[in-house]
Amino acid sequence: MNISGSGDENAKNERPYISRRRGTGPRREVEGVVVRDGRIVLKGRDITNTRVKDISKREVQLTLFSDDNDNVNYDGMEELLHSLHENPPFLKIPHHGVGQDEINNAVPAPAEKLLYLLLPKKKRDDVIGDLEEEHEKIAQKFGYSFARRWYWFQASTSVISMTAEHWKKMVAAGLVVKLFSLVKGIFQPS
Amino acid sequence: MPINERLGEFERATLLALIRLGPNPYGVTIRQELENRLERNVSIGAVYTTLDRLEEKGFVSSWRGDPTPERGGRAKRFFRIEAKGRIALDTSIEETHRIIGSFQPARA
Repeated sequence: MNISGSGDENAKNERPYISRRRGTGPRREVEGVVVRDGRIVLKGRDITNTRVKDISKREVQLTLFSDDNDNVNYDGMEELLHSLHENPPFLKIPHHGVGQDEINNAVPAPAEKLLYLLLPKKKRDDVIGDLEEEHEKIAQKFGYSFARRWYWFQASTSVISMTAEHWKKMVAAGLVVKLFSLVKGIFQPS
Repeated sequence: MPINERLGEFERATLLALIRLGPNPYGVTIRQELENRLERNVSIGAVYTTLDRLEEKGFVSSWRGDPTPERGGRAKRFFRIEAKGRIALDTSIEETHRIIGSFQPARA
């Protein structure tokens, strides 16, 4: 079952999107809403910064996909549209029988921050890009909860292996300098 | 062969993965290939650490593709094995064969 709906006047000014953090990172365009395990889950896809300009269509179009039991709740539609603008990226969507659920299908932000903080700058984008791509694939296969745990595991082990390599190089360079000064000290006339 | 051109176990597995994956292998496909072949968890950080080390030695080269939406607008970094890497890999495999010789594993 698909329906297209429009929200309040404010929401009509721009297609809804989830912004992780103002000014940084990709934006996640909302494509639809899926009811999964009695919860409303937003479906989205990443769009690059250049394509952000494409969100100029002055309309709001959300598609609701029902599950096998056709248990879509349309009551929360207005509030849902409102939430998209008010509370990105963790959306609290009212749903009968469930209450307020924290819904997040993006990569775990603290793990991503950890990578930004601790990885060398030139390797950072490669690692984060790969993890983000694989996170989405794993989420499609095993669900977002598993994908988030997988992301945390990858982020922490990657930080350990990459910083260990960095420190190994630093220690080796330090030892060479120390050795050089020792040798220099031996041969230098007192 | 100079000591800094010898390959470790993981380096050898990574070079073999690059050959097996054919054109345009990148971080995600290399990590998955290694995980499947080695039958253990492989972190993407370990893969990049190894690839960077191999690149410093001149065994592999890398280049960037176009940014893609599924990576949040980030570009893929593709890798390719170089002739020097191929020679190091062949030498390493020959060396292993010499060491193993006619040894028969107990499980066989």
